[in-house]
Amino acid sequence: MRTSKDSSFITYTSLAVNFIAILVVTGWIIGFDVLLAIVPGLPTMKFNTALGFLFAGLALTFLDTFRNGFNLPVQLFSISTLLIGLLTLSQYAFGYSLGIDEFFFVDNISRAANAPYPGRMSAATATCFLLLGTSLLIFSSSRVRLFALAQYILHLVSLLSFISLMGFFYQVPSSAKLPFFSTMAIHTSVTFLLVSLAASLNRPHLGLVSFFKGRNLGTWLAKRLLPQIGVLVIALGFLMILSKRFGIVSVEFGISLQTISFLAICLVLILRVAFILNRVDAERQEAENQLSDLNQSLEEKIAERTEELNLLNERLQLATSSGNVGLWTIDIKDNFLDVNDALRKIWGFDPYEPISLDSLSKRTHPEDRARTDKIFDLAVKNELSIGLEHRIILPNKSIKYIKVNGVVHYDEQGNPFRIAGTHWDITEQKLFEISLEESEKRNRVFIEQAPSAIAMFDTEMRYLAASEKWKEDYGIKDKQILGVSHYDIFPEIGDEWKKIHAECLQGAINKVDEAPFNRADGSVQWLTWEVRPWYKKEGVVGGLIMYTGDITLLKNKEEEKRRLESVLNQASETANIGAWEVDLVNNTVYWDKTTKELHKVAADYEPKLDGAIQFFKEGESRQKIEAAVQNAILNGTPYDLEVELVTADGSTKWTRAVGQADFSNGVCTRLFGVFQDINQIKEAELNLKVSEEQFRGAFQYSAIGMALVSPDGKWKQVNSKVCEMLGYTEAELLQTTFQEITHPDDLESDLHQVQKVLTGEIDSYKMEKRYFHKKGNIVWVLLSVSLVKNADNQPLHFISQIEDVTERKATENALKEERKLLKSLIDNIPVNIYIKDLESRKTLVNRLEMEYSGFKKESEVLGKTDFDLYPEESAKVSREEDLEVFNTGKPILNKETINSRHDGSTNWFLSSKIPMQNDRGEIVGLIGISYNITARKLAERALKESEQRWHFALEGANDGVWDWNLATGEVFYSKRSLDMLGLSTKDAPNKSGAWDNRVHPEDKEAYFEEMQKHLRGESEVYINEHRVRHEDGNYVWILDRGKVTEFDEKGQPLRVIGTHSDITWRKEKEAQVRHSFDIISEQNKRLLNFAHIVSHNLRSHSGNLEMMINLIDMSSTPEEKEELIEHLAQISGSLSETITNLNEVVKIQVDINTQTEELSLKEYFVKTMRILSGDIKEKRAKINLNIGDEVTITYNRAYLESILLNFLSNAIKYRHPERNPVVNIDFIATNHSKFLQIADNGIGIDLALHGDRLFGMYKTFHGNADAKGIGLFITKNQVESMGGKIEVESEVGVGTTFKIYFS
Amino acid sequence: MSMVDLACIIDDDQIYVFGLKKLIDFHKYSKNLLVFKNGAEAIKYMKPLITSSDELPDVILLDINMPVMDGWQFLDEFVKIKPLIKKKITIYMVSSSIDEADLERAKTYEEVSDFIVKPVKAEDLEKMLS
Repeated sequence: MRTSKDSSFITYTSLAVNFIAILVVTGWIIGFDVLLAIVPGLPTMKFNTALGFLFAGLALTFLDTFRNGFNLPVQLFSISTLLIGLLTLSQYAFGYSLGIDEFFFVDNISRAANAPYPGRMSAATATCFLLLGTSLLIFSSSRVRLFALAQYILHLVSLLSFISLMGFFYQVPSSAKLPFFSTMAIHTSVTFLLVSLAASLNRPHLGLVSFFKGRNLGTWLAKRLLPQIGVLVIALGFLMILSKRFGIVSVEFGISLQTISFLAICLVLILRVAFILNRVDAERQEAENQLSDLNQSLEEKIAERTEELNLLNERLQLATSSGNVGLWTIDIKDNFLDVNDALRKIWGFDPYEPISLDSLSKRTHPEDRARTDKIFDLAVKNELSIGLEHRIILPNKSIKYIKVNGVVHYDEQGNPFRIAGTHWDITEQKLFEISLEESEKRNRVFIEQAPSAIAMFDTEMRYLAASEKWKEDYGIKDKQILGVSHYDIFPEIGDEWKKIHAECLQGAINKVDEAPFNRADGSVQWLTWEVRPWYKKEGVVGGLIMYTGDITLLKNKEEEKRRLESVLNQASETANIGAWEVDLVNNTVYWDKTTKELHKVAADYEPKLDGAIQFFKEGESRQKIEAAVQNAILNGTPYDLEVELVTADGSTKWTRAVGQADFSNGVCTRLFGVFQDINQIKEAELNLKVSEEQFRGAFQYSAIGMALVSPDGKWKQVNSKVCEMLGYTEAELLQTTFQEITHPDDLESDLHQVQKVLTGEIDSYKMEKRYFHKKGNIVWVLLSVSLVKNADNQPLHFISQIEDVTERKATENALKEERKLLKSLIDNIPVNIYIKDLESRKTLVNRLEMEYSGFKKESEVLGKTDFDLYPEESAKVSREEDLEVFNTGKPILNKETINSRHDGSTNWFLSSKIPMQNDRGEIVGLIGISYNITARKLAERALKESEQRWHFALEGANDGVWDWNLATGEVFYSKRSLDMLGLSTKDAPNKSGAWDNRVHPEDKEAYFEEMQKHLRGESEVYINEHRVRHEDGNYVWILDRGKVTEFDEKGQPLRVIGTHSDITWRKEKEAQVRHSFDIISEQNKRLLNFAHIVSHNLRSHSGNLEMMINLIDMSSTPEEKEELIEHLAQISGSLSETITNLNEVVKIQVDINTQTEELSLKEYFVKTMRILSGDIKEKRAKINLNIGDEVTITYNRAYLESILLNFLSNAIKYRHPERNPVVNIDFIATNHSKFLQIADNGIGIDLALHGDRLFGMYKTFHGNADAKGIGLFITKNQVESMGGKIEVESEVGVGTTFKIYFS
Repeated sequence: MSMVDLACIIDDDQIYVFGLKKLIDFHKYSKNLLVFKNGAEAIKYMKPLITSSDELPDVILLDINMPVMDGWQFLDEFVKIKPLIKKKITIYMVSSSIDEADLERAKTYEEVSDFIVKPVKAEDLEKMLS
């Protein structure tokens, strides 16, 4: 690029060119020749040349000054330069004169020298101007591609001017020069050289200039070599010319000398350059290497740092994301606190809750708050680092421990501007530490209070605690030992013990139950000890606990006991008595040899406390011994029990267990006693008991009564059967004699027999006799008595076996009675009973049968057949029946038979004949039972006749009849009743349900209720009017009447008979009458209402009129009068309006036969909406018309318009002030009704308050100024006059729904 | 000659009220007059003043047919607050209605002293406001 040096060169050169040009011009003007030629005689610079330079100089100046953009001056000046050159050259080329050569001045100098073209510049000069102008013009253009060409053109100018200059320098004579260069002035050449160089520097990156510009090695070489070689060549050439001019050397030698010198000089220069280049190359190489090294280490460092940063970043993210580390920064300037989410979480702040140093301080535990605040205060003021732990209280009252760290951050000037740090939640760790501390404290107290010698050490064997006993035992009672090393207190402790301690600190337990220590005085001291670690937590040893005990005394006692026991053992062994002892202090059990033998265990068996009890047989024995032992331990009660043992080999053994307790200070310390084997004794005892039991069983539980009776009759022993039989307890019987309870009728014979036995006449006797039961009744017994004598053959007692035969006796008597009873029963039963044999001869007849046959005595009838008793006709039938029974073996049951007698009377019977079999199953006859139903039969016939007559009567009266049997639920419906239902007698139902199911649902309840009422007896007659469904689906009105005709013996109704009358016609008439009445009532009501309305509304106006007129009379000023008259006008307007309204109402009332036609509901709505479109638009109402095109109603056109307009305009008028009105319009058709539903979201109407007056005339509810209270009134009238009605639902503030029903 | 301190008219018929006011002013039957367009407005005015006797009317002339709250509804509301009022307030029903039912209904309220049929004449006023 162009350097600043180049720029200034260009600037100065252009100035210099301009200066030279002006100088020359000045020379021309003032005729100062020196300025024109420099050296007199040499060619002069022509005025045109100077002018050309002036243009070129200015072009160059401007080119330099306005490099970009302002090209017009440059173009002008360069074109001028170009023209000067071109015109001059054209004169040369075509040999004419344009008169420009001496246009300004006459060239006297050239004229004087007789030059061919005075005032004309040389051709070379002209060429140079042409070239220079062209090149500058190109530069001034934007043709960048041509810039290189322009540059080379400039180089050509430089070359031409240089050649011309060299001519002057070597003083080449004009003749020897090319004519082309002949007349160029010396300063013209210099100026051209300067201008072309300066111009070429304008674009230093182009042409040859580029080789000399820049920092490349080639440039450097060119810059360095060119001047040197140039100067040397020029100097050599000059020397050559001088030598030739003065003839010193020949031309040939001169040239060779010049060539050699040139070569030599070039060699030196090349070598020098080569040397320099080599050195530069080596340095560069070195630098490159260093750079590469540096680069590499830099890269390594960057990689390292990147990795560190990544790691750090990762950790930070991990830490913060895990939520355990709270991060905070405090701006020292304004104490502004910034925290992360984790910190909020730790402190229990919600994510968006404002948080400040104050709010943190508030949550800090009150006990820690002062300290924490102080540390933070100091830290902020003195820019200290922070490191502390404190507690905080969360909103949920839980306490957390927080570890806080913080450091001060400094800005670039070294001023503190921020403290930042972390919060760790260390609650868990802290709580653990606290609980550990507490547990240690507890342990220490426990140890200090222990009655034995215990000490607690830390891992350094320093005392943490020691019991009083320990201090006493080791003689360190008054020493301060806590915190002091065990080894410092007892320096004599050997390495052996230290080793044990070290092992225990690793977790081992060193324990010795007893070890003898021989004392110096010859006595033996028994010691027990234990060294064991204690744990801070799972797997971490906190130190040691040592326990030592002097058990010498105990040991001695044991020895003594052992000696005593051996003596005892020997003694008891011989008596087969085993000894035992239970030490309740140490929970040990001791059994001696015999005891062990008793339990059949090995001699080396070691009994255990709980094991010993297991030897007692489960159940009674074990319970007994457990209770006894318990009692002994608690109360010291000794025991002596016989219990069963289950020995080691599984056999049971009876033993006597004796035990006693030993107490020390009121506490049972020892139980001891003996076992004695009593198995044999026990077994013998048991055997005896068993045989006794067996005898007792035989006597006591014998199936018959047994008793021992003394010779004088006294009961000595009785078994339970006897007691049971006689109703006495054993004790009561033993107080009496058998004579006392024997029936007097039997006593004598009994005593007689006794006497016989006592005298030896007989050994035993049996008799049936009677005892009196304790309750007084007689007990029949079969008594067997035998005598037992003693060794002296004297009577000892009687053995009596007593069998209860009362029942048998009773049966015998009962049979006799029964027979008697049966006979009288049969005789008195109102049924004919007889028995016939196979020949149909009567073998038994009861009284009724006998009398029916016409006889007075049974004997007159027995043995006779029916043929003997009745006319042959009847007898034959009867005999046939008899034979049928005998042949088939099957009875004839309840057969209606007719029997006629000789006197001509006929009787109906319901008779059964049952075959009679003997023991072998053969038929031997029959039992006949005949129930005389003649009377019933006659009654039935009479009834049937009467009923038939009655039915006939009813049918004639066009009423139906029904007859209900309540027991069976069956109902008889007469033909007429069924006709009413459209049923034929064939498919006639005979259950009450058949009628009930057809009763109209609305009438059912009353229908059933009335019937129940009558059945309960609450009504004299059942009467109910109800509808029943006819077969054709229509309902028929029925007047139903009925009455209970039969009751059972409890008075419950059995049968109801009633009638059905078809009253449909009457009912229809009634309905019509009621309807007419309703219409008239309604009309009447409306008329009355209307009358009131008319009177009220007209009266209020007339009243006002009257009042105004009075006031006008009273008024004194014309103004007042005028005002009142204005009011009069108003009243008259209102009155006229009222009359119009009333007229409209009257019209509706009058138009009873309003014209109706089929109207499309939708079409009328659309019409109405069009009428209201202004309102709808203004109030932004939304009307949802959900009615299809197909919906049509038959209505009066004007009414429909009026109704729709009214409802729709009301829906908009009474809109809610806070929302745009929305009106939903639906048409709903159901089976029963069809209606139009108009639902709005307006202000609503308080129906509770206004419901009853909603449709009244002149009733308004909202205080709306334009509410007249006529619309709904007229609408209602119109709807009602079309046979419809209006329903309304509304909620204040929500909206109102009107339903307009169509008939 | 003023007979009462404060009379109250509850009626929506503005012309009637205008005329009545004139009449009362002319005859100076009352020092001051309160006028309400319907029962609700009257109750709204009276409720907060229950204890201040001065601001409560001595006599109320009550119309039956009114929007929002009619005469009957006003009476029902008045009965509720009456036990709290120390002042004796006389109420007259004043209506164009000649319906027997209205007359009978008015008699069921012991608070109502009389039923006056419009138009109101000076003699009526004199009777009511003395």
